[in-house]
Amino acid sequence: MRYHSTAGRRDYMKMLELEQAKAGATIFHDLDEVIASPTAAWKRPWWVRWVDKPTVEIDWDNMQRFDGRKMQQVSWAKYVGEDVAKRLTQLRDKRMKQWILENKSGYTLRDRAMLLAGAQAGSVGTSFLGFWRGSSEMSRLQTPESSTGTYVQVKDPFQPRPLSPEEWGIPRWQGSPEENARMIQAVMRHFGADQVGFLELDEHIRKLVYSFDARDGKALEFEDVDQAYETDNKRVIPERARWVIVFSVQMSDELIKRYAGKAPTALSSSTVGLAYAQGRNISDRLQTFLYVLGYQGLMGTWYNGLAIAPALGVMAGLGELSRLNKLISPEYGPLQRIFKVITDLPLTSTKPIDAGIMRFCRTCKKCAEACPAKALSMETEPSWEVVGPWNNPGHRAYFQDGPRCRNWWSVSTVGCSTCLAVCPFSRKDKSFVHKLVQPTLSLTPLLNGFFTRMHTFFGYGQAREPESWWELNLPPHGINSVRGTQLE
Amino acid sequence: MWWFLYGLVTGAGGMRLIMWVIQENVTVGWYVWLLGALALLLGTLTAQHYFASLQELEPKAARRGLLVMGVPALILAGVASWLFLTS
Repeated sequence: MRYHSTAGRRDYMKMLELEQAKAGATIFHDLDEVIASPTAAWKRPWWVRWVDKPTVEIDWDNMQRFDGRKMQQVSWAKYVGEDVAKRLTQLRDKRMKQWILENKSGYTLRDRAMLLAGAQAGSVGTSFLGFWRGSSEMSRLQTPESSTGTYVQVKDPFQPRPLSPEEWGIPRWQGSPEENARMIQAVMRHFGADQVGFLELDEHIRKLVYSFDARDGKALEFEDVDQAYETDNKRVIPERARWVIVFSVQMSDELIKRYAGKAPTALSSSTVGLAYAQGRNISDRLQTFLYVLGYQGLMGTWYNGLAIAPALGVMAGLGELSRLNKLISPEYGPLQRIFKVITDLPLTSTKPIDAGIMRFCRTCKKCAEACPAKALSMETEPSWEVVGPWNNPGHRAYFQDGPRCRNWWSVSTVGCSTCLAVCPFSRKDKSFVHKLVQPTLSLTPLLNGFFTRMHTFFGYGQAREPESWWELNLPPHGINSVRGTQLE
Repeated sequence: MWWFLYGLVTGAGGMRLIMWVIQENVTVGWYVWLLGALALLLGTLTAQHYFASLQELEPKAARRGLLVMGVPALILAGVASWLFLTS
């Protein structure tokens, strides 16, 4: 890929180098590098600064690979006790039925149906290696009638196996890391991803990959092999798979704000399930895309599998860590889910960002105040001390009480996302006020307290009547997919 | 489109006012122009926030915006008009 530049290029590059050096950012040596850089295609507001270190402090020496089995979603019963977990699960099941029969707003049968249906990922499952390599029982019959001629029929005719370049008898895709990054960004947007960043799996980032996978407890190991493989007790990532593609899928603010009091509803939670289902579909498409190009794409077998998604998102500059102990991006706030695929396709890393979000969280405690489980930190300063084994030490954060959060999921019957709904960054962006506030808090923390109070005064983040959602006429998935693109 | 029409009407109105002041040789203090410009700016921002908030499905934010920005805009416009008419 070449871009032709014009006269004055040398002077321009000199100027650019100086400006970039001042900002402590990447130095480009050529205009082609500037244009081919993944951040060139990533249209972000002017007040989002690319920085060398994320706004969350990290002590890499004290960070170990986290055992995914310790996360509260997996080990909840262990943390609160089997009896409590059983009682809460029974309560959830009883309430689900009771609220449907009572026609309780936000928990009616149609709300529950929407929650369950949205979380369906269709016929796509999740596979570390790719769905077509998951079973040895798959028959491998050539299908000349295939419309593209690049598939091999497998057992399920609706899940044909793609052909790799090797099988097809052609050379695999070759591109520079910059070209590859641009290509992946473009194709991921097409598949439905919102933001896409990249990381090199260096000694630090490798610590963000679980030591043991979250749901099935398989060991995640790095080995000097060409191809990734999986056994009954481990998943092996080849040393050559040195890059991670991190991407986000937006959630609908109109849905997430359909909570009742401080409790989420089936309706508000349905956007969470939908985003996870979309993430699985997009990851599956990405795996296939990489396989057809001749590369490996390794994904989590569960939405929280393989690696710590928010941490990767922070390091790749999708957003900043926050009081939610989740990622908040300048464009979509906390209304997104983060996904990751490890690959051997060489890519250029994107950098962390500073948009004043973590600083804002020090003043604003709206999420912690609204948390019905009181699971979020009310401390002004982030801490190095973890709350429990469900947290991973080694970074200075607002660690949450995971089991308390998980308990509430059962009480509410639908999980919880109240903290996301009340966050000042969960907003649309039509009023000039938002365009004034975000650059200001990015540049100075002086007005953060005032902005928090005004957020309350203006009624942003307030719960909306659940049933009114059914009368709205919203865009697909209830999101603004144009935000942060060339078409904005 | 609406903002384009708003710009045309406001621009034409402003031009007409300035021409009238020159033609009639009316003396208007600089602070009157400043107050008028501030009232117009605040009023414009209020209108933008109001209609944008309704689009955002945030009716409370729209109403509160009228209160926080619209009332000061009206007061400023009233003071500027009074000073203009008595100059």
